[in-house]
Amino acid sequence: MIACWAWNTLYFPLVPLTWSLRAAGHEVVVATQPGTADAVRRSGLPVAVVGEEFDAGALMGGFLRRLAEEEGADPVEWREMRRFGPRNCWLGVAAARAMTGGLLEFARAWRPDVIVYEASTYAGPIVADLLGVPAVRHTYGIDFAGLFRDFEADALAGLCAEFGLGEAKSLDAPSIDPCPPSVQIDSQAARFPMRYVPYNGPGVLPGWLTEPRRRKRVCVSWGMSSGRFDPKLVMTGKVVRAIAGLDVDVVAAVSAADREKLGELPPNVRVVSGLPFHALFGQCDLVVSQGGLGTVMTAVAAGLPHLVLPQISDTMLNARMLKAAGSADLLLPSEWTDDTLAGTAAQMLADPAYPEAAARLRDEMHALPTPNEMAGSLAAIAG
Amino acid sequence: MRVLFVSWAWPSHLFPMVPMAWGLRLAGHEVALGCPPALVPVATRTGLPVVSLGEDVDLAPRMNALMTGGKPRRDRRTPLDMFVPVAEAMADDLLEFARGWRPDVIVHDPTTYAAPAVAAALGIPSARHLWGIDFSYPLRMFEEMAFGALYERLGAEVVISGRTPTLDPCPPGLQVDVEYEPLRMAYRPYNGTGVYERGLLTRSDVPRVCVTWGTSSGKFGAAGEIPARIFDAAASLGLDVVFATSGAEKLGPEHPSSWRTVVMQPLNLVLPGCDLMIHPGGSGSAMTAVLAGLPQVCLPLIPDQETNAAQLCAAGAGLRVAAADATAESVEEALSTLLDDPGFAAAARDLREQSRALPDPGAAGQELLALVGG
Repeated sequence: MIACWAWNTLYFPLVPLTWSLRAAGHEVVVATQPGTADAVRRSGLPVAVVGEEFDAGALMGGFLRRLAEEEGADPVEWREMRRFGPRNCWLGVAAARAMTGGLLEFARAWRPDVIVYEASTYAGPIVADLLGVPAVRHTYGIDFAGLFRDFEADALAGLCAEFGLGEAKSLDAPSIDPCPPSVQIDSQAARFPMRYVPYNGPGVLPGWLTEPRRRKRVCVSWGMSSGRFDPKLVMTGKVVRAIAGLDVDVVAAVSAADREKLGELPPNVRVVSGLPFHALFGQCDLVVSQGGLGTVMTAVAAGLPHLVLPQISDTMLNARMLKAAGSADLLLPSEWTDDTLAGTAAQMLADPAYPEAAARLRDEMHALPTPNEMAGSLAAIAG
Repeated sequence: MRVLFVSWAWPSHLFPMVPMAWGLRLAGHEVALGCPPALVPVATRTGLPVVSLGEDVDLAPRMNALMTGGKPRRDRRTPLDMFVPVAEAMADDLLEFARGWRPDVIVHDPTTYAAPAVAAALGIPSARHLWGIDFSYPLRMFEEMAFGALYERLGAEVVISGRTPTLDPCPPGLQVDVEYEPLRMAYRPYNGTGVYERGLLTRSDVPRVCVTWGTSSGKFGAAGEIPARIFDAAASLGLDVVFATSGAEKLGPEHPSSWRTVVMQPLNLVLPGCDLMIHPGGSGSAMTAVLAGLPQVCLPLIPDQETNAAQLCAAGAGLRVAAADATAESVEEALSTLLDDPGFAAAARDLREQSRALPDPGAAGQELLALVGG
């Protein structure tokens, strides 16, 4: 049983291992809240709808606005987030409150042999401990949630007590980790690095994608999550207009809902919706994005240099890690002018050091065990 | 490597290739599914990248004519004629896409004849991926006559089935005799995607029969009076019924309240709680039942279902009832025979174990890549 709370981009990194387990002949089911059921169905996997919905986007948006009032527009560096202690786990705890009862009820009937849980889906380890089955944690790439694992037991003490659980031992479960070790955070806990195979949702490949490129191509995207936190965070239009001033073709990858908000665009901009990044990134020379987990890891898988424009602490972590590896650069919100955006992009397109570093990172990723191989090791990892 | 999977427009022809496509993707290869526009919504729900190829051709009228026993058309030249317009409608667009996407190999449904033709025209390898029993192989003698014009137009020599590699997910004990050496693999049911029907997890001691018309036979309606006769037979035997439907028809209020209808629920989620299955004999349903270790009754409506039924009977894992003159009594007799004789379920489980002992679809795909990639 794969457990994930209702956030599509947290679910997507779980798809490869889940399909590998299924293709290896195991029975699998993805247990999630109602809001993600369609995303699971579109990935070709069976879904069990458990628990109640909660509006994570609005909760997160409110949190970010309050944080910005206290700390300013530039994101808090991830190291500094530790001063918030167990409060760092608040969203995962809220999700667990909405989900644990339903997950337990379904799991009692379905009787999983092992529960694989998304790193912040705390209902997973709690239910595993209540049923007495092993649990395996699954990261989504660069392990932001892993920075706060030592706070989790405190943050979940109340919920565990409600279910008669003294402590959730499976919070310390080993992690399957689809992230190249050189850009992963340090951790004492057991990790099993796995090759990241991008899954960005299904999509239909357009004909132009296989036509020869006449100029360098830059993808600009703000991912799928920021707009759900707060529509004001989505800066695609501004960034696209700045980058389109260069001698490049720009692909603006936006959700269907954000399409209208782009404003007037120059002729060298193509707007796409619902095109999986893994199909697009192989045909690009640079991606400029907010630095969300799916965009970041898919760019690494494609060996694509990345200009990251982080607004929150987890994308800040992603940006810092990639910059240290040499495949990315970053600009903070206070630095975003048309000149700095276009200038930094132009400099990255001209400097071969970025694609070389990105290729090294990609090769490191491609040398890791595949999801098929990891599926074969799951029993050993679960213990 | 880059692997393009191609199917014409029925889900039952695409679904058997999905586990291998995912298996290769998760081993690190690039894959895409190519299919006519009508299948694109179903294909995207596999989670894999999809490319729309050519134009739609509606085969339902031809299939309906087949099922109602209509006389063959006077201008009919070969049993493969119906697949000629399907291949013609796809070939040019497939050629253009493959030129740009540059697959290392094209894997195709055995009746998607545009695929080997385009692969031959481009000088790249192709492989047939069976949906189960190799129904179309005995028809290979007609391929040159049916598709000669297409190959000539593309400037390629005709590729005859069996001369390219064949990927075979059928349990060996269920397969027809062939003269080629297949790349065998375990059958992993993919019957589309759905939300778990929670009620199916609980059941009583009453034997439960799954009644289904699959995704293909469902297109032609549930074949007149046959479902009513099946339900009468099940009621007479006091069975619990799960009716797995693609949505065209539902159980009416006259049926026992313990009976359930599940709409578009993947069979591999429905069958684990069942004891036997009854259906026309389509491959996806038949193979999924075998993999669940269940005996089955087939009421074949079209030729490939006849072949499936014959092979299941020969393997001792099922019974055939002639659809044309099925009565509640003949269906009841078949169902009770399967329930009373544990040999049928044992034979189904034996086929299942044969299948499980074979390589995973992804591993078989790797074998293919090694074979064609040198």
